[in-house]
Amino acid sequence: MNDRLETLLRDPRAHQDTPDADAVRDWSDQALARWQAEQAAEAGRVPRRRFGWTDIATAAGLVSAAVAIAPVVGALAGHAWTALHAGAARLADRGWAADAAWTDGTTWTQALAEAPPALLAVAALAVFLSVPQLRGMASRVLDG
Amino acid sequence: MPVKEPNQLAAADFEPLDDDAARRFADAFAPRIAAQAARFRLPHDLCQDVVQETLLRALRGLPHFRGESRLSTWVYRIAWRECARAAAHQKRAARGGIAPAPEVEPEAAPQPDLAAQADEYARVRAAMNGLPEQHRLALGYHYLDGLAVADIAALMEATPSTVKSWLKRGRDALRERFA
Repeated sequence: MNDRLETLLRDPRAHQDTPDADAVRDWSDQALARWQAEQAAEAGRVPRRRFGWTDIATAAGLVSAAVAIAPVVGALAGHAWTALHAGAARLADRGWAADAAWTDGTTWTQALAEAPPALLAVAALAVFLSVPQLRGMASRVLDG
Repeated sequence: MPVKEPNQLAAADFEPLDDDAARRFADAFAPRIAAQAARFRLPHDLCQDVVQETLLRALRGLPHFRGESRLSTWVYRIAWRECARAAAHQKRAARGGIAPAPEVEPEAAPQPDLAAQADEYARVRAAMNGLPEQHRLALGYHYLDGLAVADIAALMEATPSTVKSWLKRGRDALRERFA
């Protein structure tokens, strides 16, 4: 009896009723179809762009722009700080007009006019490269 | 290529993992996964979920399988988790008053000349159904899937001595009921 039981236990029919083989095949087919769709989606995904000349140009532009802008930003911040401390009330009276003078007599238009053109060009480049759409356009031109 | 038993298969047998290899993988393991789900007494629709989710997870993970265990043990382990999740879902559904899905349809009536043999199988099945779940699952893994005690222990998160105890007590109970 023991040998018979051992033999029976090795037979799938002696265990819990298993789903029909055709049904299992159908389930497998569905799982495979899902897996294949995943694989196709994976293959169709745009590969990560490789590091290129555009990235180097972008980085160089951003660094030089930051270096160039720093004094201007510092000067503007200094003017603003001075204005806040020295004459907040007077500034409020004048308004924030383009020809309104800071406490040292400098106006906005003067500050921009005195900035070296090269610095302004670099700042414009930095803004251009910081905008993703513009950068993508540049990338297509540069990388072909 | 000779057909290998699932327990003899290795990840290298499915390299490169293309559509053909995935088909061979599914053909080899889907029946075993379905049998495992049935041993959990899961209804038909949950068996389907278990088979599909296990195959998908295994196919996704196969390229990263490092061979820390046998491939079959790894697949059964995924199936075990899916079965446990499905069983928990079934219990929650039962507690929430949601009617569980119908059980697997019973086999068609056997031919007269096979009736005696079918009756024998039915008696074993009935005896198996009366066993505690862990004993029933351990017997299935051992006798049907051919897993070693150590593999079953890893699968069922138990010690080998515990698995041996489950197998012995399961066999003893079956002998009593089957005698």
